[in-house]
Amino acid sequence: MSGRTRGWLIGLAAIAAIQVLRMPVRNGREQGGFEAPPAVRSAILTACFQCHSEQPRWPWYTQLAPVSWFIHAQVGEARRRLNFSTWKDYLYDPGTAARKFGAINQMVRSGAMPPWYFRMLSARGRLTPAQRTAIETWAIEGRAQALKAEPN
Amino acid sequence: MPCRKKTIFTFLTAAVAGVMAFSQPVHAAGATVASVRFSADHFEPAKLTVPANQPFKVEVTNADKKAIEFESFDLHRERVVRPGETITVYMAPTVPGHYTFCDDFDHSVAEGAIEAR
Ligand code: HEC
Ligand SMILES: [Cu+2]
Repeated sequence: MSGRTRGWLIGLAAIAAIQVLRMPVRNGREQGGFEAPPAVRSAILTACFQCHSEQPRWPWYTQLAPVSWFIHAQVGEARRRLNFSTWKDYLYDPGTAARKFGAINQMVRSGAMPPWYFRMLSARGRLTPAQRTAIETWAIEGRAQALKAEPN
Repeated sequence: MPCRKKTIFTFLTAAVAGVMAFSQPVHAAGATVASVRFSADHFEPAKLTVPANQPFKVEVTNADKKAIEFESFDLHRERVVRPGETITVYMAPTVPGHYTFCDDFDHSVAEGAIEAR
């Protein structure tokens, strides 16, 4: 066996071995329902739900370690910060709703969300300017409404 | 229903009704209000107890000189509280359990907890 072949085999064996620790994204129970005007809803379902909901659908190759470790951590943090599956729960407290709407507007406007690696990986992450504007307008209005109900 | 069971049932119903009548909160609005105060880098009290399966409110007072972000990842709440301000956080009925909250602006601040039972 040449050194190069052996190197490849060891590499493959290592990749196979770490599959034991795949850490797939586990979907919790789906709570609440996310409602928004159709254009906004479909843009968010496409570009945000992958990380910010209990129902991400990742392609098979992202479910293999070590990529899955990275995705697992990202989705965990993303859900903790903003989970569209608990959207109704945020709305229950207008102050929280205002904060979430504000953050969504900021993140989409600045281009920080969806994250750059997701925009590279998937066409789902590439929002059109019209989709961005739709999300921003919806978020600005949502925030104003929420602040009316709870000014602080 | 057999007679003895019926008596026990009646007694229990009366007992529950009695307890409920006496445990009505004094507030007109009805919902339980739990208060927590932030100062000198900590929440006081560190543990709030609320009834489970009923809506409740948490009043957060920031008596410190810096803004905090009252956040409960468990109960899905995120609110900024500026110095000197008191805010009301509305909580939906929850199943009995232990739910934490923190200052998401400063993770060196010890976590607090809400015990629903
Ligand atoms: C590939 C995963 C991924 C996708 C897709 C994604 N996000 Fe995120 N998002 C994250 C992660 C991870 C964080 C937390 C870390 C951070 O802030 O960078 C986050 C944080 C956020 C926050 C901050 C929440 C807070 O209050 O701290 C907002 C708002 C947000 N995302 C909105 C969106 C929106 C809107 C979309 C869709 C247009 C989107 N994200 C798509 C991964 C993602
Ligand atoms: Cu926060």
